[in-house]
Amino acid sequence: MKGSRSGTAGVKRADVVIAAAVLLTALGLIAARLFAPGAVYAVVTVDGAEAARVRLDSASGVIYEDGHVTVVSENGAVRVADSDCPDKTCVRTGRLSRAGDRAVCVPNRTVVELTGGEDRIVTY
Amino acid sequence: MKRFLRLVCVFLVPAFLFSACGGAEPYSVSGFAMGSAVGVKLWADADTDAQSAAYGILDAVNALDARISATKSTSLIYRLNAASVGVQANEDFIEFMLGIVRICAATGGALDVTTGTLTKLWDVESETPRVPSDEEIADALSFVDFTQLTLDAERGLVMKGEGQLVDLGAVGKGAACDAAYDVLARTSSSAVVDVGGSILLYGRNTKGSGAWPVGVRDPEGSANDLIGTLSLTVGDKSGACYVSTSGSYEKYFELDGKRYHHIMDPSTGRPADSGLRAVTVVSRISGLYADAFSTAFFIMGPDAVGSLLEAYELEAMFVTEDGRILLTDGLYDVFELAEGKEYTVERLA
Repeated sequence: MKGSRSGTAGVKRADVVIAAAVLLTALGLIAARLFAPGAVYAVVTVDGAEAARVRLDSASGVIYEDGHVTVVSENGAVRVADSDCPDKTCVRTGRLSRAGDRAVCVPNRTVVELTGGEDRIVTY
Repeated sequence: MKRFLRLVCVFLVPAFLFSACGGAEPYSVSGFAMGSAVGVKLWADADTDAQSAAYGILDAVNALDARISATKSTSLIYRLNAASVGVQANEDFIEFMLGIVRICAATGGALDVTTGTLTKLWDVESETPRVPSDEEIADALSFVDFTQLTLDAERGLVMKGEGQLVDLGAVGKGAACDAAYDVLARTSSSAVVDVGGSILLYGRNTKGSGAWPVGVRDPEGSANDLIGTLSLTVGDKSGACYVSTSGSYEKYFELDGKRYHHIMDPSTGRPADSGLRAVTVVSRISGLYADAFSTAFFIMGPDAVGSLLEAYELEAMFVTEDGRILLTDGLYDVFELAEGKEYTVERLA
């Protein structure tokens, strides 16, 4: 196929337009990926295995219950509502509302964590 | 048409490669060991099997826990405590214990791993903690003396004084980070390992400048409340950075309006009272250092630690009971106070 020499340096004008459109689309995808806040999920793991995963902005009521730990979601936050552990550290942790927030129940080997957006590293 | 395809390839391939890198998600696994949650996040390169490295780390932490736990009846420390004099141990374990005893000596006994009798007496972490009498404290204290530990590499023996109880609670999580490092050193990945709040940062952060943002919990706030953030880079030689925090907010009980926390001062037999709420220590050499010295510094207070900072190449952050944050030079420049916090941030004099 031989094209007309309407563009510069042997490249057709149509080629440039298409390439530019493709490049802009690619850049748009990159920007969306880099800057989008991303959905936040509440993830419950028991002994390292995922037991529940719900989107924070669409969940309400009890999102996990296993006879030891009860996790509820309300008003864009989750919390450990009840646990049969002795120290109740997980219940006292209170509301989790931002990505990275976490409640841990060591006796029941259960972690409730909000994931999505930026990962958070915390020393305590 | 060929030119068009070439053009598309030239722009698109790098664009999508960049896009893929920018959004790279780590391989994550979690578990429980050392009485706390353990998390591993690993950004593996092409040569590393992420799954085997991540689970290798969990296995290494569990294996250490199985040796040093004070509550598992099969652990070496449990058996040492149950024995009248001592137990047999391999060379690695004796070397490990020697490292800990050297730190106890360097801190002048502020850190002492034979405080088991005190831990048991106060029982702060149990459902029924209590404030013991002066006589009971004096009695428990009479068994606290790390210099009575004998570590005999030749005969493969760990021995203790009669009635002594060894408690590695102050160093276990940091040592677990060292065990994780040994696994990571066989890979060329980036990783974050969290053993109950003791952190190992390994390699470069693939996002941004390469530094890792590490949030420090606000001792006055709830579990997810940060006092500020340290931007930490790994050491040139080790490729690692270890962070540990000791505070009076994590494990405590209250009686008659007074708070009794779990960090026992071996010189008084009571919860340490040096005007601090929390101490965070950063080491680019060893997780054991970060963990052991965070406890020791909490007991010693910020005025007594100067020579140790230098000798062990440590950085530290002290949060005082009167609302000040004291930072060593290396941390002062990389600390950012969280929004809305009313602490005074100062350089450690």
